Amino acid sequence: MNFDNLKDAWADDRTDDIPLAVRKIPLDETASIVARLRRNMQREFLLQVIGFVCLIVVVLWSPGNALSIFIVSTAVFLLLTQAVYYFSRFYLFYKAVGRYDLGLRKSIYKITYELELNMEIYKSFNYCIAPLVALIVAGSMTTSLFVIFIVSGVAQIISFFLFDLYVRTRYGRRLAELKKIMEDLETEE
Amino acid sequence: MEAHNGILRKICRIYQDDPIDQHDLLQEILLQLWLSYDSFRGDSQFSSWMYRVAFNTAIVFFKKEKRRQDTFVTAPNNQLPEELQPVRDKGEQLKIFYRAVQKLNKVEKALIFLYMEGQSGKEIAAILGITPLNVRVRLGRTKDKLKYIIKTLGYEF
Repeated sequence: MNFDNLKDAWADDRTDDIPLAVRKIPLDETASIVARLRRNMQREFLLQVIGFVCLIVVVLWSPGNALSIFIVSTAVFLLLTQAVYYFSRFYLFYKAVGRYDLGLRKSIYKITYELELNMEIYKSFNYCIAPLVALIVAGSMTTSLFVIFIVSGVAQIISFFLFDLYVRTRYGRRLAELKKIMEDLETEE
Repeated sequence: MEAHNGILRKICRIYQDDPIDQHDLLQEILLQLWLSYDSFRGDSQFSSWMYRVAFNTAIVFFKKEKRRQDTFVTAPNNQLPEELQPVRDKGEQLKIFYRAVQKLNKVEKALIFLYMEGQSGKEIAAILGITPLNVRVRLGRTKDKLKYIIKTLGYEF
């Protein structure tokens, strides 16, 4: 087989069977990993805001003694501080992610790095806030320090496994494939 | 963009075998070209910039979850058929070629596409971000692999 002989047929191939731009910009349907990441970040930000509003409602309606009010107030303060820090990181990441005009090798490196970094930040964020949320909810419903402590501890342990599983299920296969391509490009033949 | 849409369609055809996926990928590439246009400074050819954006998009584009998963063939593992059917018609050869290219991995697809488009080793190296020497070695290996795949499909030309 001679590839050069096939070049004429290749050049003459019109490929008109794939329609060009018949739909609107498919931001909601895209299968690009970067677009998917950005879309998930938007959704998760919205869910977090709704979650915070629900949490504030729970806190405001809860009866409690001076100690539980102090614990809940401290936890709310810590939660909001961490949320502001992480959301600012997510926002910077969201604006920077996905540049497609680099050489292929650099581009794959960048996307893989950004994806993996974001997965870790996401896990660490949820690992930090889960026990605080549990503390606030438990502190708003009971005055028993023992129960509050147990609920927070269990939430911490569950969050570790749950969010690790979540990000691996959501992005793990894509990340593995990107790493495979990266390794392939890295190999000097 | 109209002048180059044949190239974009070919990229979609070699990266996706399903017509719906090809269409989705084309939409995605057009979107990324539009979003990235500000980064085109004119210090390189428009086609080189377009190849970069298109390949970067195609490589990070994955099939939808519900559809068939992407294949990532690292080496042909099929046995050769006992008898190979000779193909003389160029159009038929091209159809078989497209089928065979589907079995290459994503980097090999980019290499063979750029070669078929008549890009030089230096230009391919710049688009892929690897050395020209690496391009030459990989291209030779990819061509051999492609010839073998075509034979495993039962054809010879």
